[in-house]
Amino acid sequence: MKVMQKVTISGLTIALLLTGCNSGSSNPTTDANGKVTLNFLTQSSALAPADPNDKLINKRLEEKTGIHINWKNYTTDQFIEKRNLAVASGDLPDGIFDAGYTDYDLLKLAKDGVIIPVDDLINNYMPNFQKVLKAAPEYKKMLTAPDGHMYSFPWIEELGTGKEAIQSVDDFPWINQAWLKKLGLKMPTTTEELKQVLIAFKTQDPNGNGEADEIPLSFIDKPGGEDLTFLYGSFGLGDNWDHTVVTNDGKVVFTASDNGYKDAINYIHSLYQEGLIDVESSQQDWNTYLAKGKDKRYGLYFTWDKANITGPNDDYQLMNPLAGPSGKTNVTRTNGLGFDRGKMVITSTNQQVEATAKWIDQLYEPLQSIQDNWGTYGDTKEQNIFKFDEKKGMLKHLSLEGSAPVEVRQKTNIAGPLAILDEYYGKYTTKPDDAASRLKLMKKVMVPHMQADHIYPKVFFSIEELDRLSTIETDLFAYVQRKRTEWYQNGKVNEEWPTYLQELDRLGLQEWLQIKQSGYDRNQQ
Amino acid sequence: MNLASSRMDRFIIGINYILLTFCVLIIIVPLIYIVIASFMDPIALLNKGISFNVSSWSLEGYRKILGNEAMTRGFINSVFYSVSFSILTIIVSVFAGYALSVNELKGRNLFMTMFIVTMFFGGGLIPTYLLVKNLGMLDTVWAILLPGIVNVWDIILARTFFKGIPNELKEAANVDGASDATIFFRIVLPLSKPIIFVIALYAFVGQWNSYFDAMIYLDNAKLYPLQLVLRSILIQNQTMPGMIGDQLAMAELKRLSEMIKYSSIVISSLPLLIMYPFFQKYFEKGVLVGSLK
Amino acid sequence: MDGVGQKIKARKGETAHRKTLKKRHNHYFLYALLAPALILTIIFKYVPMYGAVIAFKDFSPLKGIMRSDWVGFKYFEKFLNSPNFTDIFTNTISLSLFGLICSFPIPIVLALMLNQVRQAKIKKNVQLILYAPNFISVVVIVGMLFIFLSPVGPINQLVSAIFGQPLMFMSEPGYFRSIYILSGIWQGAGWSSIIYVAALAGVDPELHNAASLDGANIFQRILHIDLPTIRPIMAIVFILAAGGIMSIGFEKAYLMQTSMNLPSSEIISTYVYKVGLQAGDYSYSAAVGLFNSVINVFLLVAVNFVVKKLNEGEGLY
Repeated sequence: MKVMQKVTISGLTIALLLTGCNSGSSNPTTDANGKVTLNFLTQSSALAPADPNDKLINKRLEEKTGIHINWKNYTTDQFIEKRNLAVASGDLPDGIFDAGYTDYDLLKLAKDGVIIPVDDLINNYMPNFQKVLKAAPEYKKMLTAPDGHMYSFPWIEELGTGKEAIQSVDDFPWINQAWLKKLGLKMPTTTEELKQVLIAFKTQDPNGNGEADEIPLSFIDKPGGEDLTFLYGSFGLGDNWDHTVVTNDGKVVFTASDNGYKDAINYIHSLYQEGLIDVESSQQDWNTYLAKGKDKRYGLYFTWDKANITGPNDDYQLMNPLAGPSGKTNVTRTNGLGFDRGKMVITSTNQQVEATAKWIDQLYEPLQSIQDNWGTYGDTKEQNIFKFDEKKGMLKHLSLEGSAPVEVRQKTNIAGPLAILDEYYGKYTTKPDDAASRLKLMKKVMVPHMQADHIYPKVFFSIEELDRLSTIETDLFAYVQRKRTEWYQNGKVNEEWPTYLQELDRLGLQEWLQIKQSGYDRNQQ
Repeated sequence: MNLASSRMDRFIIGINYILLTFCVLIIIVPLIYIVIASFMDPIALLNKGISFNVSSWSLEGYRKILGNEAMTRGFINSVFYSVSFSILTIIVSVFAGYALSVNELKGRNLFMTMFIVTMFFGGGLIPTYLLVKNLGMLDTVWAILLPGIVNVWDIILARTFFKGIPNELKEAANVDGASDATIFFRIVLPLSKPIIFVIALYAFVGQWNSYFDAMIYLDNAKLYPLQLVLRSILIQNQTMPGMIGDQLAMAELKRLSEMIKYSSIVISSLPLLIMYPFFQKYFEKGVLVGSLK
Repeated sequence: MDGVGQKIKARKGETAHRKTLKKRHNHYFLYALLAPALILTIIFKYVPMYGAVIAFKDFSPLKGIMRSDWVGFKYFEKFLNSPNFTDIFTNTISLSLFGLICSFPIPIVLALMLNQVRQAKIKKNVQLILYAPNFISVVVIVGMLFIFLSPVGPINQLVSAIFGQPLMFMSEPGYFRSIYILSGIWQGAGWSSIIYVAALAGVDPELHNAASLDGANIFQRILHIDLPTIRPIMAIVFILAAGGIMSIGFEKAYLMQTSMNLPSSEIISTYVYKVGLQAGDYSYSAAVGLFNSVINVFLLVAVNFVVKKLNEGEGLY
């Protein structure tokens, strides 16, 4: 026993001693030649080179700024764990690039003193970023925390503004034009006409193979671009993925407790009863949805861009917003924006704050931002996204020649904090083809029917508010989604409506509304 | 072995075979699905289901994996980790299990309690990570090999097994003046082949399939085990609605991961299935018998 | 039956000898065997244990765990006050409990069945097949569940042919538990039977021969020879499983969730994951983990007590 005791005690002592010491960051920040070195933590896809310094963009940046970056780069599947551990263990880098921090993260880190406020840095060392904020001051407000400071650098990608923004509608409805022609039908303009068209698809064998294997309507029953909530607009305020809509007199409304919502669900149920809806919708995932789409089995389906599912052909066409029973049309706007608050942060252990700020500022120079986001030119090793027109000082998109755009982008871009404003198009760069065509469709087909003048802005809530919102939303949204799916199938929305509203309140709806309304009002000042 | 079989016995054995056949069928059908699916294009798979038509098969799923240098390295690493982990677990956990099975060992219950408590209460990720860091083990193979080899489940299992070895054997040796060490090495260990190989097998497989420790402790991609490499290709992040470029990214990545979903299973389980028969012979009946005589 | 049993016991007893022994006092060697496990446990499990207090603190990385602000039971309250706490708690316990009850006997039965197979080659190959599903990752298992049980999948094609309508297996809350447990058995029963097969390997075949000569049929032989051999292991496995009831894993349930089956598929681990998705909420998940552990300990002690009564006083303790 004595032996064991001795072993135990010595083991404990050693271990305690070892845990006691905490390594301070002893990374040199300038090398022998006085060249500044910074340590950044970042993430990239599995396709990209392991050392970001192998990318041409980073090499050019180093030449331009004279600053060397030591990257600690993780693949996206591990990044969040590794990032959180690095911070929690006190092993802070100088900055975190492409950090992906949520608002809550930013506020908590700021409160704990892990990251520093950057207001002064912007004012003193960052002319490019100041220009961006001046050209688009709404972003300055979005970036400012409730305590009045800014703690991070954003990612901004404008493609269209206001109602024309490319994010305004995510679930575009694509209708099978080939089948319409085959059956001699016109493009439906009301919800009733749509129902008739779908019935025709189901019963008249438009694909001509003698089997009733057509799926008149399919969707993925989860909030996102594949959901059918586009149709809800025909019945009132409609719905979007965070169930938040602002009326034209500034009131914040929860879409899932609105009366129009009830009518929309009744309509979907009637479609369901006619057997017009894909049986798999309530549980299928993207791959299953895609597989059937590639086979062109859908009459009507929803997605961001038809090229992803049925291909870039003309068999499917964007359907116009439908008039509901009231005769009015409406296209509900999402609250999405090409804006990500927490793209880059500077930590409190950074000893070269001025140099860091200057380095980051380079990223907001228009031509730099464009390359950081999409890819570069003049690369001899990797495929180029652009060619550089020296005379005009403009980057022009090149044809991709069959490569998947994603693979090229992830291998060559560096992402991170940047700003691409709408005014850059035509001046510094051309628009990417897929974006350009989508914007055109948006403007022509959707914008004229958008009734809402405002969307819910990117309010920067306080820590307590964020905590409450996320806790409430976990249960509230799940309940909404579940009831909605049940009602599509059993049609009991009218009888269960009062109990439903009560349950929404029990799950915290009133508090949620109050927080969001006060956030909105604050933002308008 | 000739056991006198009554009518009842033969009937029961017949039922036994039928039931076992049923079990085998239930399992083998989905397995065949997986193997065939690994040769098919994911879109065709989802639309038309399995096709036994060999001409529609493709090796794409395998090519994507086997051609990848990180995969080969991951494979070799995994073999190393799993074998070492397995051996170390035996030395640490099984041996400890024996010590705890000896009734005369003072403090036995105290030690057992110490072990069991750790199954329920622990410091959590951060302090453990800090400890590993302060011990200088971060980004080394020790971070994978050391913390996990004390497996309380294995200790308890081993202890139970050792308790089942008839005392008479040990006492007989005792009388002959054998020391603890001799008893252990000459008598107990040879009888324990089944439990040792079971625990070794469980440890090997557990380590082969694990990725979490490697994920948090290792930075150097050259040290990654196979599962971690596979994971980086299979897992994609959720995109936020509104991030335009990434819509296309999502579609492409999903396609890639769908493709290797099945082939990666076949590849990572093949070695294990091949290895198992080697362990098998230690589970044959009558291992205990020889020693009695 | 009793007469046969007694005869078998008598046979076993014949091989026992009674001799006097010298008592050994210093078991240095045994302590040496114990030492590595003990030292490693102290270093890697006990030293970091101070971190458990993170459940009571508002963790701030720069202050470290010990110097972060004390918030007492704040996170426990947050958890216990969740609107659907009762449902989530019940879901977790019933999923675990039913899972345990259903899946506990199967590996045992499998091992006993395999043990009766005479031809070594068949036995080997059957075993190999039974073990194979264990190596399939949970992501693929759930993926396959969705495909096989889809409204237009193979099973439902049969159902629709008979009843005219498919069964919504993955959408109805009522099916979740059964599918979860059955697929778990499908995947793991074979693998879990290995330990019992190994234990049965220690049974002297002579005992079976002799018992058979004495007129015992298969059932009696299994009951009196095989079962007692594996009973200690059965007891331990059961007790330890009971001690893990609250900690049922997160990944499979999360993957199997659809918007409709949440009333039974939302368990503690999936809920905590979603709420704590504001990354790095270590304190909240630590609090819930602690809550689970305390309950697990109670369960362990209780089950150990009961099992000891049934197992002739042999349990974990």
